[in-house]
Parts: sequence; structure tokens; C-alpha cells
Amino acid sequence: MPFNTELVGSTVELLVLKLLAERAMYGYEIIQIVNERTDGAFNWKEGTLYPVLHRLEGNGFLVTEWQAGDSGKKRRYYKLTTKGRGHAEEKVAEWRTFSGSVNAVLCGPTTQFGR
Amino acid sequence: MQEPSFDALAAEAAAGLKGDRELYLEIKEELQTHLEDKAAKYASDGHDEEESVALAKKSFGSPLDMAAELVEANRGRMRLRGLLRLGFNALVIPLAIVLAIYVGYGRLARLSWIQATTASFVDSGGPTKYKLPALPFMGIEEDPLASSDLHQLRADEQNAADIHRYWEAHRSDSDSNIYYAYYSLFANENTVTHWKRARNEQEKEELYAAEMHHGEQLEPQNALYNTSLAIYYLQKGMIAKEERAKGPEVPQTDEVWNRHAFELGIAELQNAARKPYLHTYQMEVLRKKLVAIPAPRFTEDYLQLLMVASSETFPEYAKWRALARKIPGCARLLLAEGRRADAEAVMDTWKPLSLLLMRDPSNSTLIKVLVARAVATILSEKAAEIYDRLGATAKADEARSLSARLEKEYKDWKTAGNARNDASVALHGSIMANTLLPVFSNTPSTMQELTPGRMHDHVIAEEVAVQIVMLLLMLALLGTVGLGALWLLQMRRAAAIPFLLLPPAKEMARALLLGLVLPIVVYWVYSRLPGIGGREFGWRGMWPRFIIELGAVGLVMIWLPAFLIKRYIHRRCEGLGIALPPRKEEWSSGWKVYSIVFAALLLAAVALFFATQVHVTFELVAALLMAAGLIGAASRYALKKRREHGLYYGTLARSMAAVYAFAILFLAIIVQPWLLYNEAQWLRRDTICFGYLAEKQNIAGFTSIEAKTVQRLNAELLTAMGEKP
Repeated sequence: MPFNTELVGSTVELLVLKLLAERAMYGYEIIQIVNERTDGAFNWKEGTLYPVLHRLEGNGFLVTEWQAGDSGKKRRYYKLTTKGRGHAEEKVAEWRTFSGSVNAVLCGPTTQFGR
Repeated sequence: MQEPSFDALAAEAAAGLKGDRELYLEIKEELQTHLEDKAAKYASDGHDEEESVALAKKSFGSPLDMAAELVEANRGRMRLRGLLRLGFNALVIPLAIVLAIYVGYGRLARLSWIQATTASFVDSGGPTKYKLPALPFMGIEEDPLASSDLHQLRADEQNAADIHRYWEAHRSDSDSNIYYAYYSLFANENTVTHWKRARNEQEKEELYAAEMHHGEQLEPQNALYNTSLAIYYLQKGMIAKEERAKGPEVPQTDEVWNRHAFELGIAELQNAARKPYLHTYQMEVLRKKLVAIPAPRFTEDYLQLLMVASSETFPEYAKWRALARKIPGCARLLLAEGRRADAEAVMDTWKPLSLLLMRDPSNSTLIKVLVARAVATILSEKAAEIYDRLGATAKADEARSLSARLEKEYKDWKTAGNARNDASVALHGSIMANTLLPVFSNTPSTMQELTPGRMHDHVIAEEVAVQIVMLLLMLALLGTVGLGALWLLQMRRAAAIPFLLLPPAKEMARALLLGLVLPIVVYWVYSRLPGIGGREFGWRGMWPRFIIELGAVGLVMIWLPAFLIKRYIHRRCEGLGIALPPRKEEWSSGWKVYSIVFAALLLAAVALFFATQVHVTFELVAALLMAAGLIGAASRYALKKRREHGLYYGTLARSMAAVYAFAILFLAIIVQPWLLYNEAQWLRRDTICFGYLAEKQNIAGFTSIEAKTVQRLNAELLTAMGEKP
């Protein structure tokens, strides 16, 4: 099911920060992992990911480094800075509060609907 | 894989970032790698190569949309990086060059200023020395003695009219005796300006006599004015055979030229011998001059004080030498005329005048004591001869005996050395202390006294080393900027135009810490360690060792930061997809270029170093042109040979400017002031050679060691004359 663009857009930064909190990754790798973990539900394009990565890098949340992977090919790896780590935690906490509130509304008072 | 198509697609998507060449290349490279990974994934899923590429490109979407998104996402940092580059190009590089020039020029300007100022103290009225214009904050006073109160202390021809006006107004001031004594010593046809207005010789003589009699009125007991008049009249009135040039065609005889002046001279000679004391006030004048000069801080300031002090002792030597020759001549002439009583009376002046000269309170430098001794010795020898002719045996014997005693005292002083002290000064003393060794010999000095001078010498050598390193760095900086510009002009393809890669702060800090701070700290600790670092000049091979040490540190300071930053730039260029030359070729080509550039810089530095000793302008220009020519030739060679890697070499050259600029700033702002601070500290503590002058009070001798020596020698000579010291 294709998602609303705005809805996807609002979660890209959060998911990128969360993934990079695990380890350093390059752009294509991020897209692949998101795709795998969402069972293909999130199939990000380059135009979705890279502007977000660059904005985060410009704001000092990420740093980059060219590194050779297992195949010997050099790729541009993104890594969270200390500032970025704090920002990631804030974003995750914000999302949890936000999604909790949305769910609370969607589920409604169990006493009324349950009966 | 069809990489060119990915390259074009990535280039189109990143096209909006071209304003920031480094960012553009990096993002383009990232997108291209992304597309290749994607195509590889399609291929692994079973698609053939062509399909894989097509699918990767298709899924990439519109590059134009992507370009707009990327520009928006990178706008902020592009602006920031643009500002940083502008700041670096417009501020850091010019500031580094200006500071390097300022430090080098500052030292040259101070030297030229000291030369010129010193020349203004010397009263020969020679040509005005050229002064390099002073820049702000150099601590250079244009004319320290220009204030009206000190005008009378400047007896050079240019100021003669002013000096005389000053005298007219202040000739009866309470301290006029000091100034008038000084005036009397320097008074001649150049300084007594109104002589030039005199209609004839007679008027000239009257004007001079009036000036001297005015001095006598100020201080009637001082023999100075009668002595000056005696010499003036006798120079006009007669010539002694000792004064004549030597040669078969010159008759070696005494001769009266002007009877009137001769008689007046004899009268003044006897007047002078009757006075109780002679005071030239030269030390008082010197003190006044020294106080007027700004407090000394650096070596040049102290040298200037020394030069001022030494210039203060010369003028009256000629007068005393003339006196020592005139008196026996006068006596012989009077004897020849049959005026035996007058001849004896004139010759009787030798002892009182010698003693007056020896007891002059200004007689506090070694050279003045030696002149007084020489005058007394010459006069006593001649007196014995004349007294013999007059038949005054007792007086002749006394003169002969005093002459022998004076000679013996002097010889004893000259030959008596202190081998242990000599060895100690040679090993532990400074260059200046070793120059003063003959004076030192009999006046022992402790290690505590000798060490500051030696350390001061080393700090000076370290300053020169830092200045040479700064000069080399500046030339390297200009060279790299020039190379970048040359590549920019010569490479025709836009893609090969080099750009500035500013190393991140971390890389820069590491290069400066490892390449500059660490070598300096290691050298500093090593060179000051007792035993290992020992700074004794007397050690065998000390100077070669010192040159090797400083040369090694200097080379490390030039090479290591550049090497570290070059490594970073190489890595960065690799990440940006810039075509890199094979390592072997790069090393070989780079080595050639660096060898030529380094040789050029070294030659330029040597030329500049010698230029400071000769004439800076032409040699400096020649050295810079030579360096620029060699660098240009080297770069053309490298470019021709390695055209396909022009972007790498050009970018490398342009980016290396950053490290050179920061290295210069570090040396100019931190290291140089630190060394200057050390120089001032050691100078202040060098009581033997310099610290003494800084006090500017109770000056006896130019240095404390000289003062001690003079006191002893003067006492010995007075004892030899049968007087109480």
C-alpha cells in the first residue's frame, strides 16, 4: 500500500537517526535496511534519503567518511555525532509521545467501544 | 557497468552544488556509487547488465527534482564553506604573509634605525644614514633626542644653528656647566655657527675665546676651558716636530707660526695646570643621553646604548694627544729662544696636567684610562729629556722614575692574566663576554654571571632560525598559491581546474601539533637539559652541532606539517574521485618538484640573509624573482609531464597554502613573541655585558666588569705617580 508522501517524509529523519545510532552506514545500505525491516513497505528513493542526510550533516548531527567496504569499494559512510545522538534520542522520544497520543485517539476509550 | 551514464546522471543531480566544487564532487561521487550498488543489486537478482543499469537509472527518478532538493538541503553549509574559503583567501593568507614580512622587516628597520641614530650621536657630521620607515608597534622612536632640553647634546652640523640659539637662551642655567663642558669639547668651526659670520680670523678667535671664558666663569676651578684654549691657541701658533708627517721631504723641526697665539697658548697652559681639577662631565652627558633613550628591551636597544656610550668617549682624545705633543714642543722652542725659565715653567705643567686628566671623574672607561696613561707616559719621557737639557737633574730623575713606574704598572696589568678565568669565560661566556676577554682576564666572573649572556646568544640564534623558517614558509606559501594560479591558467578543461580543499580543524590541529609544536617542545626541553643539551661555546664542535640541531628542527617544521596535510589531501582527492597519479610516479614527480622548489627557497633564504648585511632592497627582489622563476619552471615541468593529473597537483598545491599560512601565524603570533620575551629576560639578567647599562645610573665603564677593571687600573696608575687613588 503506497503511503502518503507527507507521512513518509515526516518519518525519514527519525528512522535515519535511529538506524545510524546502531552503526555507521552508507546511503544505499540505509535504504536496503529500511526496506528489509518494513518488509518492503518503505521503499525510499534517492531523492527521499539524500536531502535528509545532507541536511542532518549540515546541521552537525552527522559526519561522513569515505571507507572501503568488504568488497574493497569506497563508500561514503554517515556516522552520528554526539550532538546527533542527543538529537536522535529527542526525536525517538517525541515520536513515542506522538504515536502514543495518535494511538490513544485511534483506539478510543475501551469501555465505550468494547461494550 | 556503464559507468559514464551513471556519472552523467549523478553530475546532473549534483549540478546545483557546483558553486562548491569540493561538495559537488563529493555528492556526485556518492550518488554514482549509490547507482552502481543499486545496479549490482539488480544484477544479483538475475537481471542482465543492461537491464540492471536501466532499472537503476529509472528508479533514480528525475535528476532535476533531485538537484533542487539537494541544493535546498545543502544551502546553509555551502554558504558557510564559501565564507570560510573567502575568509581564508582574503584574510588568513594575506595576514600570514604580512606577519612574516612584518617580523623580518621589523628587525631590519630596527637595525637601520639604530645605525642612523648612532650616526646622529657621532659628531663628525658625516652623511645621514638611510632609515627604513618604522611601522606601527615596532617600538621605534624616530628621534629620541629631539626634545628641546637635549638639543644641546647634539653637536652635529645640521643642528649647529639650533644649538647656538639654545646656548644664547640657556647659557646661565644651573646645570649649564655640564652642557658647556660638552660644548667646549665639541666646539669647532662647524659647531660654533657664528664663527661662520666672523669677518676675519681675529674675530673668529675672539668669539671662541669668549665662549671658553664664559665656561670658565661658570666653573672657575675647572681646568677644562683653559686646556681647550691652550690647545686652540697652540694649534694656531706652533707645530711640534712630533706632529709633523714622517718623510725625508718634511723637516722634522719645531716651528712658531703665530707668535701672538703661541704666547697666549703658553699662558693658558699654565693657567690650566694651576686649576684644582678637570671635569669633562662626559659621563653626566652620557647619562642624560641614555635617560632620554627609551628603556632597552632587546639586543639592538642595548647595542645602541653601547654605541652611544662609546661615541661619548672619542672626541676629546685628539685634544689630549695634541697636548701631549705640544708641551715638549713649546718647551723646546722656548729653550731655543733662550727663555729657559719659561721653558721650565711650561715643562712643569706635565705632571699637574697628567694628574688632572687621570683624576677626571669621567675617566671611567678602560680606553680613557689608557689614554690618560699614554699622555702621562709620553709627557714624563719628554719631560726627562727637556729637564736634562735645562740642567734640572732632580726634576729629570723624578720624571724618568715616574715614567718607568707607569710603564711597569701598565705592563704588569697587561701581562698578568688569570688562566682559570680565561678558560671559564671561553667555555661558559657569551660571544660578547669572550670579546671582552682581555678585560675579563683579571676580573673573575662566576657561572651565575656568565650564564645569562650565553643563553641570550642562543635565544638570538633561535630567533634567527625561526625567522628563516618563517621566510621559507612564506616563500612556500607564495609558491603554492602561485602554483595553484598557474594550473588554473594553464589547464584548459574546466574539470581540471584546481580548487581549495580546506583541511578540517582536527586535521589542521594535528598537523600543527605534530609538525610544529612537538618539534619545538622537544627541542626546547633537549636544548635546556643540563649535560645533554649543554650550551657551552667552548665545547668542541658546538657551533656545527648547534647549526645541525636548529637545521634539523627547522626542516622538520617545514616538512612534517606539509607531509601530514598532503596525506590528508591525497585521501580526500581519492574520496572525491579525482584521478590520482600512481604512488611511485607521484613520489618521483613530487620529489623532483620539491627538490627544485626547496633548493630555490634555500637559495632565496641565503640570499636574503646576506642581503641584510649588504643592501636589502635589490637582493630581496632578486631572491624573490629567482625563487619565483625556479618555482615557475618546476611547475611548468611538472604540469607538462603530468597533465592528466593536473587537477590533483593543482588542488594539492592550492590546498597546501592553508598549512603554510597557519604555520606562519603560529610562529609569528606565539613562537616569535615567546623568544623575544626570553631574549629580554636573559638580557636583563646579563649583568656582565648588558644589564648594567639598563640601569642608566652610576655608569662607570660600559659594563660592570669594565668598571671594576678601570677602578683598579686607575688606582694602580695613580699610585705609580706617587698619588693617593
